[in-house]
Amino acid sequence: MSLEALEAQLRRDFLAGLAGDRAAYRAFLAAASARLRHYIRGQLARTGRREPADVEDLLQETLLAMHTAQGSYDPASPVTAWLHAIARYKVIDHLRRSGRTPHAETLDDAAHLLGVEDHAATESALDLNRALDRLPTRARALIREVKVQGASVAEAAARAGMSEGAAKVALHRSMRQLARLLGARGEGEG
Amino acid sequence: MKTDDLLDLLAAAQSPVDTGALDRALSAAAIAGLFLAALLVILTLGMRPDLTAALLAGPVAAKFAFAGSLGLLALLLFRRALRPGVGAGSLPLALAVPVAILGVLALSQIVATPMEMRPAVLYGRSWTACVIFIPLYAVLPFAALVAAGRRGAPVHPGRAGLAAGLAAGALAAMAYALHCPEDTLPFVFAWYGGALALCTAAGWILGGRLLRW
Repeated sequence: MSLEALEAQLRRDFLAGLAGDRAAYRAFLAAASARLRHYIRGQLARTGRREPADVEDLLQETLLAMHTAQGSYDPASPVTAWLHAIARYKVIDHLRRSGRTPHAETLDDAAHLLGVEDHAATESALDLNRALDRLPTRARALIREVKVQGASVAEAAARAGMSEGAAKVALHRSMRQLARLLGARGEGEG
Repeated sequence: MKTDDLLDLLAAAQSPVDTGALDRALSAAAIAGLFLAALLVILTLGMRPDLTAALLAGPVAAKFAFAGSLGLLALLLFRRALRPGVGAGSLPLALAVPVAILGVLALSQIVATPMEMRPAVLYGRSWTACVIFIPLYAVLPFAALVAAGRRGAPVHPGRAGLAAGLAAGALAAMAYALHCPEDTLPFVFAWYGGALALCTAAGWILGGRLLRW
């Protein structure tokens, strides 16, 4: 897929996602994570780390950061540029925290154009699970319902005895908190 | 957790996002910062009594034009720095224009001044007050801008902080100009310029810490 075609696809799905379309947002996330996984794997490999679990850790942190930073997207600019800038920031941040030279390639060279879908089923090592443990019990239960048991937000809300609106707010807050917890690693917090 | 599971979770947590909120917060912060700094100058130092008349003379108007143009450009630069993937464009170059214009005008005024009068024209009576007060009055606008900026996602926090520092300094300089009794262009160039440089450097250092996310 050319960069133009990728941009067109990502843009269509992301703009719909920003308007609140969950299915379109899910499609955007899938396409974005395939591409970012390839980039992150390349960057980590340069520092001698080839564990798929490390790649998934950093990918998940980047996806959470992206999710909470959606309001920073300027609809007049390319989605790929936005995505790449965030991924590069997270990679540099990660390398700095793990004590390596903070230098990351930009994502624009041809080698990264095609994200190949693999390792998607790899468990992240620990980071996100550890961050999840630090959420309030109620939020964690909600996440388990939605996630592990594949319930819709409405079903999970009903089972937790909250309104659907309250469950959405709780989920939204939890994602922000997870992003914060992951971003704070190595700064004396985790 | 598998990444696919995280994607389901993020999609489930998705609600409509307002990408314009950041710009509105930034405008509100800039206006509030300018207003607060002006209020503080008027309450603590007082307005110069002849402000309206002095505004018609070149040098006082030059303070507002210099600080106003730099402030506006720095705000635009800050706004761009908060949005990943959006470059600075030609804004850094544009910042050089007001500096160059005022620099040339200030230099020509110095050259036209007799040697023994030059220190008075350059230092005036209050150059230390100018360099100290402008950064102090910039604290509130800077705090307002950084608070708004934390809604953004600066991928170069230091650069974003630098722009916020310059913008806050320029807002404070406009507020301080309500009081400042000096009426020469060399004074404005050297000391307003110096105060803004201090604010910019402080913003760069603080921004790297405060705007990380």
